[in-house]
Amino acid sequence: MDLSRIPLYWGVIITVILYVGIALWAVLRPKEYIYEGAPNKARWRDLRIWAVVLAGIQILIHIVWGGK
Amino acid sequence: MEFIRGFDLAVIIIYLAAIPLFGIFFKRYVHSEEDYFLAGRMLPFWVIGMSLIGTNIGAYDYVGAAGGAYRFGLAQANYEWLGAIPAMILSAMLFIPFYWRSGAYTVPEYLGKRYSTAVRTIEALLWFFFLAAVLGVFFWASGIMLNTYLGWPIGLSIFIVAAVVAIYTVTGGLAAVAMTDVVQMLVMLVGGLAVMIVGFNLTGGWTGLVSMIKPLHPQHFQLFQPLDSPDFPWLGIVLGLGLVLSPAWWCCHQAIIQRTLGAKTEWDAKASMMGAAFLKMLVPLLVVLPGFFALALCSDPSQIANPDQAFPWVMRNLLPVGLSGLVFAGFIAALLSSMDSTINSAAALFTRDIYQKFIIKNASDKHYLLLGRLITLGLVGFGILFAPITNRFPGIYRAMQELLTVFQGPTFATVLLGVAWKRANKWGALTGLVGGVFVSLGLQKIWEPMMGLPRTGMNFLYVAWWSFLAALILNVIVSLLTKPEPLEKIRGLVYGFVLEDITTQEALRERAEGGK
Repeated sequence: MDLSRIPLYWGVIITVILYVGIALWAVLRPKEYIYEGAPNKARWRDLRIWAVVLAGIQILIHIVWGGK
Repeated sequence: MEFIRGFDLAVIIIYLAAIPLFGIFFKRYVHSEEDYFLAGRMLPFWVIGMSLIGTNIGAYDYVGAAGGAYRFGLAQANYEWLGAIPAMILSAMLFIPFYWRSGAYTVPEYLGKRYSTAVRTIEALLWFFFLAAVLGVFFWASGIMLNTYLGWPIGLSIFIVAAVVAIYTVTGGLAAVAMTDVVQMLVMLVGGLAVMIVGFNLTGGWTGLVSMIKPLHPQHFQLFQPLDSPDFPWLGIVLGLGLVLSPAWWCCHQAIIQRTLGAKTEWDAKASMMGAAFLKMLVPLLVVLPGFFALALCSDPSQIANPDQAFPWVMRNLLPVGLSGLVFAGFIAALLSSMDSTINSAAALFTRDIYQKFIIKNASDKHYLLLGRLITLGLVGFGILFAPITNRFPGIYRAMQELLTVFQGPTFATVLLGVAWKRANKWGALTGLVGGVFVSLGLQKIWEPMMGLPRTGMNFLYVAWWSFLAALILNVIVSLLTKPEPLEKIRGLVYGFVLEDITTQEALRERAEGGK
């Protein structure tokens, strides 16, 4: 079997699924768990948003430069 | 070969003198073992975040990653993106709260509470000897670097670097390590930014860079390489790097986790890792772009016969006087920040997991503080003595990286099951850990690169995956065949327990105060 013939976009698809899964998992963490120890519950301290932004940027990077 | 003189040299000498002076300032905050190894749990998230990236980027990364980008292109950035970001999110949201709430100082200490002293000791010894050996490689690399760029004798260079690191690491502990890492990270960023501005100016921006490289190297602008690629097969990148090696590094590496345990609150601990992930996304700008600039602008390829010469070529040919010194200071910063973290973490491992567990159990806090400092000093001495020996093994740096792979997969499997599955027990963990290490050794043939022999072992990305899987399966099977751990023992150390249970929180506090 010629492994090199498997298209690279399969790597991109798996990676995007991985990032979407991690972002979803992060979003589903309870609010109290996320803010534990924080001095206040300011919106910017919500680490779930940080996780979604990180995953979003990475998905974009992999779609643009992942390979075809 | 040396090409840094005059003003550049002054920048470097001022930098080398200023760092220990800055670090030694934090000695005033060190009064106990907790102050020394966990910075008194007072660090804000942004300090830890920058320190994490400083620790993560070594001087070799500058040279090696630029060389990798020169040779393979953007695929080199997999180590900074897919090989880091998902694991960092996982570490922040799942693992760090666990370590934080268990009251442990080290990852093996958590494993000792969750499983058994045997698992804790095996992990501690593996990490301690690995970190100590890596220290010798770091010292030798620093000697070579200063010799190559500044013309200083190797022995003198090693001694100067060791003295600089020892002054602030021995006196100020983790607080000094973390705060100097912040400065080192800023120096690295400014240096990297300077290279980027100069490089883009010469190539006509990103579009110009692409148009200069793409016609000759079309695959240089794609992250994934075909499955038959010997260095970056995409499946190996996804399975080995993305799912095993990277989580093992960001969720289980002592030098990484110890920083987050120095946070002033649990939120700071978690946010430090998330903040570091944002910085991590920028790292390719520092370490990958110079390889592209060398590829685009070097008209005579014989000047870069070895890809690792790509970064030195950029420094020599593109940067003006003053900037070379600054970028070289970034080099030294990368080296120092990795070295200080390695020393501090190895000292914590020995003090907590070996000395307090087996040698002197109930001594005073001052005793352990003094011991921590002595071990730190001893490790610096060991690094100096071990450094020339590393030169006798030509492939030792690569071998060290592969040695890390040998136990990273099994370690991650052991910690993951410990955190996520109540039924995992000490017999499963022990079998999985030891069995996984043997699977790694057998597949990777680690002795070949160590002896400078040609490699016949499996690609390390796949080794990581299979050893992780072997450790996971062995742990599950043996755990199911043997008695479960008593509920009281694992209360608070497994995911479901820690989140809401108030009794668990009290039990954890007691365990943290009482158990060493």
